[in-house]
Amino acid sequence: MKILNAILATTALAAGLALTAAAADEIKGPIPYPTPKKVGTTEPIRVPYDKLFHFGALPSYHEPDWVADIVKAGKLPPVEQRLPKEPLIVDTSMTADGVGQYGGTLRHVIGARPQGWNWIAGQYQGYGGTEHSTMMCLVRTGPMWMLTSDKVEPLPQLAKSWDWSDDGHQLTMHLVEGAKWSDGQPFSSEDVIFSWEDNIVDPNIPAWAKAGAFGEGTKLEAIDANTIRWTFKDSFPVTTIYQMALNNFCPGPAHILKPLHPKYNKDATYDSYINALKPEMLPAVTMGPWVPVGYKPDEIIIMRRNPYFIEVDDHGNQLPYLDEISFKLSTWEDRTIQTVAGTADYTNLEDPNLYLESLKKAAEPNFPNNLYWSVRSLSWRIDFNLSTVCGVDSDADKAKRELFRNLDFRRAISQGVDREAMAQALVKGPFVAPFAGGLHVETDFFKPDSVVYYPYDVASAKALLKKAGLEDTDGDGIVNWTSGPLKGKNLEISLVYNSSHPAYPLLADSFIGMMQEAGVKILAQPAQGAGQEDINDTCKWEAMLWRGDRPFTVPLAQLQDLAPMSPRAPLWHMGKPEKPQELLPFEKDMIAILEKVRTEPDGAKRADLLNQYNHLFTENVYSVGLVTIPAALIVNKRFKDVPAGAPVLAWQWSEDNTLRERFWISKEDQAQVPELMPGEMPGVN
Amino acid sequence: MLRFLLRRTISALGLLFVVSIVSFTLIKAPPGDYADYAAALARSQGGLSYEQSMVLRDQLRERLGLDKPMPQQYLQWISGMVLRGDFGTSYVYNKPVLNLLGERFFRTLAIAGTCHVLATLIGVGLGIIGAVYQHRWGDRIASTIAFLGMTIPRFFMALVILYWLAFVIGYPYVGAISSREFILAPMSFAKLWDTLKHVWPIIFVAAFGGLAYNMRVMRGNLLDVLRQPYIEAARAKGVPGHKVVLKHALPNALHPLVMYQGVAMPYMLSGELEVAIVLGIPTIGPLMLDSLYRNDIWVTTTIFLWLSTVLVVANLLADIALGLLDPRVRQAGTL
Repeated sequence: MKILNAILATTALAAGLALTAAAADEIKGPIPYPTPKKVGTTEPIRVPYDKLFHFGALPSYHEPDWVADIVKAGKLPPVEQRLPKEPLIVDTSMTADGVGQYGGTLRHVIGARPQGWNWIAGQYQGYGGTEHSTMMCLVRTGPMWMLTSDKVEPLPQLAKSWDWSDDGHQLTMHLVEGAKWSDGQPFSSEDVIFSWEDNIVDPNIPAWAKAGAFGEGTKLEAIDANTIRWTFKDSFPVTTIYQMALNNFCPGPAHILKPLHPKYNKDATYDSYINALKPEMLPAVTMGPWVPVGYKPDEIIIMRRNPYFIEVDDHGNQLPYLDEISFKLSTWEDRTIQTVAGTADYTNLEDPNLYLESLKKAAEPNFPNNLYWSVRSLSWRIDFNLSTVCGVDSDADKAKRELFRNLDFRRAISQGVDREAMAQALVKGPFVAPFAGGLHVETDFFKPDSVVYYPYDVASAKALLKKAGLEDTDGDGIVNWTSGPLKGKNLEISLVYNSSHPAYPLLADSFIGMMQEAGVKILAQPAQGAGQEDINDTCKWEAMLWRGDRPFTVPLAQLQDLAPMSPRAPLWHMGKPEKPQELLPFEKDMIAILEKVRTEPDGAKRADLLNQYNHLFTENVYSVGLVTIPAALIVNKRFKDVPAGAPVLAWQWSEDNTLRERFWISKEDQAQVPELMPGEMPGVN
Repeated sequence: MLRFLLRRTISALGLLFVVSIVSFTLIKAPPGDYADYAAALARSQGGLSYEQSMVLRDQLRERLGLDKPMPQQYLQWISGMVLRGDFGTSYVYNKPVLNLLGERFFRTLAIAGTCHVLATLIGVGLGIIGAVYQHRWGDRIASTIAFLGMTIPRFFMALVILYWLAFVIGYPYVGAISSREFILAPMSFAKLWDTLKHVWPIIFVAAFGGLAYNMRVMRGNLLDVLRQPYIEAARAKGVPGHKVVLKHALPNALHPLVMYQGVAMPYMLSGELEVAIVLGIPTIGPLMLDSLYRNDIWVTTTIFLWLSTVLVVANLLADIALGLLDPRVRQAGTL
């Protein structure tokens, strides 16, 4: 009897152990993605494409009274003559506050400094809204987020319309007729062709976009003063149109720049040409809503309304409503401090550490600003270096890269991350949501069922590590290599992250702790600035914590950054010009999908293809997504028609997304912040 | 005196040359350069793809000569400085470094000078109080102030003040050298007053941190001098107390402080630097930090050279001042 009991007990014990072992090796499969609730209570107002912007003639046009006085004095032509034949009409009927009133000023603070006004030669004007205030481009992408889902395409700007040839190899663009630069000189195809031939194509000019950005072998020609024609090697490379926006194709004034270009001036050099328009040379000549007229180094840039700006509202009022904007030259951090203190008017809120404090402040009655939350267009992820050809210097490197290329390993890492806990550690409350990696969820094309979401489960993570050939053979809690040149050693992976942004170290610490629990030792490797760039370029990294934004919210803007479509991208799988990447099978499928996206003219089909891409991305844990967050705008309460829900960063930064030429301040509020140069008209007084 | 000046000038030039090599080498040592920074900026702010930004980076590197060997870059810079007074170009600001520093130099000097003078005067005054009222309330208060000034880090003080000004009381004069309405205005008393309203936190923090050393040295030296027999003799003769201290004791207690002026100036500049960075005031300090972060190499090396020059010149002036103050130093032939 005793023997029988012993046998039974032993059998039960063995069965229990076997069950435990089986449970330990059981790997939890994907679950439906927990789609997060949107932040913010105000639904964005969406406008149909042809209503938001369209070109047309109106029965009459209007301007501020003080500008009309200058016209009466004979110093400026009447507004009808300053505008194009058919101005660009911007809708105000579907805004929160309707038609605006003229006058007032907007105070920006920026952290960069203007290099000069020769943007077509690659100079920047200080960022933070300066470029969006001065430049106009062939098309405009910033406000696309406002469009109703039936048609989400680049909006017209200097190109008022465009048509494809039947075979899709040619795109004819019709430029706005009768437009003028801010000095009254005509805008025409000459400006466009000069920008293309003598800047973008010229290898000596560090223009923002080089010719390859518009497709290899692409040509551009002028048909007449108001028509240009692109010729592409591919048929219907529709996504190329998205590249013709800020900063890539914003023509410069040929009548100013041509005489300074070495091709037309034998006394000029490329250096003298690039630096020809120094920040002190004012007023600058622009097509944008405002013109730089005042500049004090390290202190301020002041811009005044452009009398020849081509936009009007649907009542015929020439835009912008605001007569003046200024850019205090400080630091990016100071932008938030100044805006919260009420001495500036506009800032992006992207640092999650400030969210709760900002909400508390916004609830105070004397807080000078409104908070405008947008969609979750920012995310963080962990990438593993998948390259077998770049930055591989030893057998150990090679072994690690092979491990990173193993889906079981990547999935193990993904299932070892407790995203909910990480989100709450970053910011308590509903802001931060789990993120599977891939394309951002709050976009107009995203479908939740495109996401393959692996749930948090440490046991599954350990089982997957075992499948990948890693086991804790020495009992120290960290898995060991069981074969190869690192056999017997602990699995140690260095994690590079940007140490200058406060959220990164916090997320890195969370991740390191979670990986420790799963049995993987992560070694922190903070980097910043040029040091991180060097690491990216030489591929000498193992894992990296990134913030994802533009390519994952608006993939059409940067398709080439989403899969190995060229040797220099994506960052987590780089090749070399002489030795391209060794593709993983799913990467080949991804590339095929993205190539189809590039030449698919139908928006709905493109969206479908992007969801297919996202499915592959998440199924194969191409990156280990961590969390996704919204951002917010903080704008002074004086301003009306600030569109709720404007993304801080999508196709463009918020300064373009919010249509600042449509901001206005009521007459009674304008006196709160007086203009710095009242009555100043560029080129007139 | 002339021989002394010549000797000191020659050794100073040698020192500055070494400083230029060391600072250039240290700054160039870590991987990456300005072209990397510009590429990252073009991606984040300008929306360029990674590949486009790499093309931009390579073009910039070639155009700015950043792809040349390090010794060649250094020789070009040093020869430009010596032969043409050209300290190089700021890549970030796209202007000559000399112009850039010139724009900030006088306001930096004005602020640092004010901090230094206040720290010296207040520190010496507190030191006199501490010595004269030793172990009494005056001494305790002066010592407490000195203790706080020495122990609280300046950047911390600056951060607390910044938070209180911007977030608690909504002070409108934060983060700039002047208010909007005065930026383009010519200099006037109103503009000066407005500037003071912006920069007083820097002056307060830097002076508060700097007065501590002056106070402690002054107090200690004066206590020693006040115990000397000639001081007793002066008191016995009926010389009033304040004349004993100010006319007889103080000049002899000042020597170490005069010597200290040589090192204090750069120390004041560094104190101003920390606070100016926190408060976002556009002086040399934030420019130096910025240039380090953005690999604006000629700005960084020129500022290092400039700070070294200030140190050398300030020490020289301190030596001369000591000689003028103390005839024993002159007679010893040091000068």
